[in-house]
Amino acid sequence: MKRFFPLFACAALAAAQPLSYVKDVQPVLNKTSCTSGPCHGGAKGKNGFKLSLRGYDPEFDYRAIVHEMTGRRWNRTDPANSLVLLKPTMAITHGGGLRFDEKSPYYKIILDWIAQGAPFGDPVPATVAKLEVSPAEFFTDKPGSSRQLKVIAHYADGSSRDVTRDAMYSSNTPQYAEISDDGSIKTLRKGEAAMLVRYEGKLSVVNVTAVPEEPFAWKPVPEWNFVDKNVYAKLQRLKRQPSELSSDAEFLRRVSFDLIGLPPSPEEVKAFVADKTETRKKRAAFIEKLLARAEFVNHWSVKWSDLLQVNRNKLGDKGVWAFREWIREALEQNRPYDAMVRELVTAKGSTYKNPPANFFRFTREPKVAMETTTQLFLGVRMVCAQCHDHPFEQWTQNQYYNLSAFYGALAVKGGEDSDEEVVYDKREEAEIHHPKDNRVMPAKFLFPVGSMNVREAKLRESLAEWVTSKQNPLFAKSMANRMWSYFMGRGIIDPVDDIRASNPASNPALLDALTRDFIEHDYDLRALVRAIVNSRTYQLSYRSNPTNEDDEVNFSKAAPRRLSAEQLFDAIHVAAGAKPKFQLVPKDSFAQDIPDPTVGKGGFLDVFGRPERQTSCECERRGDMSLVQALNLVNGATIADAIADPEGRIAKLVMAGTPDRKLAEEIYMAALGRMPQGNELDLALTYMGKGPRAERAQDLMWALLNSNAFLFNR
Amino acid sequence: MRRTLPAILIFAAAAAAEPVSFSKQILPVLLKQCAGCHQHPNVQSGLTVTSYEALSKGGIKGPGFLAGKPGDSSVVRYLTGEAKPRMPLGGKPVPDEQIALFRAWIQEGAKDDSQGAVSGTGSLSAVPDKPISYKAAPLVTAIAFDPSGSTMAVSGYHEILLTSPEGKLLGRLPGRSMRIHGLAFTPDGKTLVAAGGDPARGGEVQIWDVAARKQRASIANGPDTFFGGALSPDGKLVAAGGGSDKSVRLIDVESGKEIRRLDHHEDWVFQTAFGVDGKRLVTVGRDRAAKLSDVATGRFIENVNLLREALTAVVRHPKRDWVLVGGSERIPYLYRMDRPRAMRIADDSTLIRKFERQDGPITALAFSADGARIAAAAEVGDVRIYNAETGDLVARCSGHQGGIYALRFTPDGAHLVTGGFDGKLRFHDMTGKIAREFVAAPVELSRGN
Repeated sequence: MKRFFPLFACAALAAAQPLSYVKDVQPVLNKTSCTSGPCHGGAKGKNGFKLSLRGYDPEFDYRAIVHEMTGRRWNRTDPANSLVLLKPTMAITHGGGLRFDEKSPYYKIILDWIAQGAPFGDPVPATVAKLEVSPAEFFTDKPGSSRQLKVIAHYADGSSRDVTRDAMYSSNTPQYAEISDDGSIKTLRKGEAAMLVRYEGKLSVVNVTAVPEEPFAWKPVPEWNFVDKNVYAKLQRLKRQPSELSSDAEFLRRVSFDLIGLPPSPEEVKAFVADKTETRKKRAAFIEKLLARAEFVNHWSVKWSDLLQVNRNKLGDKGVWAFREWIREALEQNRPYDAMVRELVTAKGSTYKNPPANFFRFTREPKVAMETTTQLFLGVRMVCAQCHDHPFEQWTQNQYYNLSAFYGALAVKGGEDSDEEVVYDKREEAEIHHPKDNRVMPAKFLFPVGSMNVREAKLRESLAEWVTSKQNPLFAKSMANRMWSYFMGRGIIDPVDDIRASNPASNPALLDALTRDFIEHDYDLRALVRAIVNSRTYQLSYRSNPTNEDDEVNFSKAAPRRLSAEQLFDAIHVAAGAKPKFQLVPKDSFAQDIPDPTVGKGGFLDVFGRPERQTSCECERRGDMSLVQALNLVNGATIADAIADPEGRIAKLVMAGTPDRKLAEEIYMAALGRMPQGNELDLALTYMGKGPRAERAQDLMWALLNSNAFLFNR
Repeated sequence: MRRTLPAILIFAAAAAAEPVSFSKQILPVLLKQCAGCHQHPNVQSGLTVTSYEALSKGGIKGPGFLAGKPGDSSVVRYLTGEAKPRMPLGGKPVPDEQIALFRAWIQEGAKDDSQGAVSGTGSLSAVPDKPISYKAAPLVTAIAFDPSGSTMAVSGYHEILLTSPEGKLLGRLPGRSMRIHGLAFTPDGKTLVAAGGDPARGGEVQIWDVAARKQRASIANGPDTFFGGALSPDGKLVAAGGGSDKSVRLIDVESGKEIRRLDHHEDWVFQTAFGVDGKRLVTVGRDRAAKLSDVATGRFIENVNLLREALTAVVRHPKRDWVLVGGSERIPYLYRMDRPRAMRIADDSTLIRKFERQDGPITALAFSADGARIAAAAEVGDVRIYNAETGDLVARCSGHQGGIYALRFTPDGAHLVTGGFDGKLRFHDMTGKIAREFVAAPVELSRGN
């Protein structure tokens, strides 16, 4: 202990470089995880010592280290005996373990800083203006090879320095390429990954591609539209050949489920397969027919009702029907997407008389309304920034409240009817206050769009203009990405409602092209659907080839998707020719006609992942498989009752005396939208010949409805 | 495999001339690798590893070791990963050569050469062997005046500084504690008591013969620094908050012995105050409570306050059983110590006065000797003086840089003395004006200049 005193004098003299908390010490605390969520950055800190999460509030952290508890955490007279050095080096036992040792540069920085009197420093010039990462991207033809990154921080005052050692690194897909704590990339196999580099609130992404030096000759594939062009460009670079085109029957089943939520009828399949028109043309023509069908509106109103939380608990009985009718009307009229969003964001008045006002019946207050608006219409999740600056994104806590201020006057009060509510703008107490110091936060856009200014007198209108502007880089993009995911199984950015620099697009050119097309068509949703499903990429087979079997993100093949709860339920009933029996809705309503999750609650639909519509997250609808689902399919009443319906398909076919061969073909066609193939017909005939015809025919249908060919859209 | 391994290790150990030392080779590894989770107050799986006795006793998985049987000893089994989960949990495995030392030590009979000592936690540093040399003024964390007002005791680094109110250094009292959190003179002015310690290592109460400049007793105890350190009005008892063990210690000044430990708080205790007759004690802490206890029995009586936010300071009115408390909420509250009737939930009827909200969390409070004035200091902003009767603001004391951690009125009531982050003692008159300021510690001028 005594030995330390003379040493301290030397340390002080040796420290030539003036150090500050904001510029030098804070990055060390971030890099060594002191400020991380499980450690002192947690909501309650650790063992009485609390820092801000990932150091977003340097003033708070400085106070905690230097001033709090009468300055016990540092030692002016004997810097080496400061708790902030003794603890992380484990000279004194530390629940967080060894963070660095006495020989590390981190130790020296903190020691020298204390020896210099522990100054806070001037945060303005110490702000990192830009991160320069080299190489900007890394392409290698030798999977397994490594590359060291170099990171330079450029500060607001024009200075710069190498921060490679202090930056934080992570890989978005570590199974393809990983990155070490000191910024060394290692590729593991053929594929792509994005390396995220973070330093003091700034973020940079380095794309890594590893494609082995192997013989590959791209076999030319026709480009049906701009989608294919952008997809192929990427695939050629990655030495991946797209799969073959799907068969007519496969296409028909896929596009029918995707556009109208139902399987094609046996008649449609037969006519389509028999049609000798050129494949691309006849498929395009069929797509046009589907776009005009009433079921198109039914199917897409389910998706919109999910996103807008059409839910009796929140909107009341009448509100559910009113809001759903507004959605259906918009879809029927093909109302431009920006017009729909403007109506929602600016809605006022009775939730009965002006249905879009229901948007605020479930969001209710300014902050939630803002979070919902950004997540739904811009794909941006702001919720983290409510309590601290966003850890992985540029959004700050200040911006959270600046943006909430557009909804500052928003209020909901009771209406004439007991279940009615009225959305209005308050005249008083319409300010949004910052929770830290209670200051009033002015309404400010999240980022500038053109030369648009905030209109103080009409804040919600102003917000709607900003959100829906063609110059807003996220509005059209987030919808194009979201729609793409409905057809391709994943977003180009995925998850679709989490767009941020640290979650990069797998094919930015493709997303840009889709976005441009959507804007050029003035936000026409049917035109967007048309562009996607008319691409050859959408119509590829799900069967892979040796070059694309491990590809999951580049759309080189179709991704089989489990039918959604509603699709599955309706498909079972269409196949069996049975009528669904739901309560609370008009007779013979299908699952796609149901207005909200109160109908059929706790039953088949909920088992298969229908969302309760409690959040605006796309993730609330589950597409996974579970044991309960399997048991329901095998033993449950839904399939059993549908195939045994006395008015149903099997009953009718059997009563009509249909011969076995024809009977088996009809069952295949009804269930899978295709004729039996290979030895399927022989097996079916053998089975049916061995018992009572009606029962055996039901069994065949039961078996097909339990097969992957039925359960998946592929 | 399991049979051959120990044989190799025994051989390795036998090759070393000296037997493995618990205190020099085993305990340091335990403290560095394991004590983060296996010591007070954490004690995962009931195991503490900071002493031979504790390791021997073990935790819910049984004793830490079985002498002569390294293969069956928990400490070895968990360090090697033979027992799951491997320790240190989530950390890098302990190097093989260190595990070999554990095996050899247990094989040799697991002898204890520590003589009960606990290194690391609970161990204070020694008294410096030469006077501290200050390059900059040390933080001021405690101030006290002797009854005559002619001598001030001020916290230094590893010492207490005695100075005249004019700034003349009268004496240096070096001790084991790096930090001094509380200072008080007995009513006869002959004895000075100090509470302090080394952060996260141990606490100490020092008792000094002022005239002889000699330490009469050092009572070192607890896992962290002592806080508070109020003297009973008769000067016979000192009450110190025990830091991280959440205790309050009562120490007899005459004998220098700890006579009672109170465990009523649920978090760290930061300051203490005796009642006028010395029979009761109020203690405040991070658990938000100002707790009233009976001194003779140590029994908890009741909470003085309505719980709001963490408390850091308590001082008593010089003549009445009223206490002023403050903390994170930034508001000083004046409470009666006694409750006239049975306490009810959310009953705040003993609150006498609520003062202005300060600019930062309250760090120190003071009462003038006549009870007419109170003063409040905070981590940021001015120190403010109030009329204790009306709650009116009397003066603002500006000019300091950083937080104020210590606050005292001079015995004659003419000045308020402040000290804190910038290391300067400032004498403010009752209008807030600075009458004088000085640094108590002998700061050396840098030779380079």
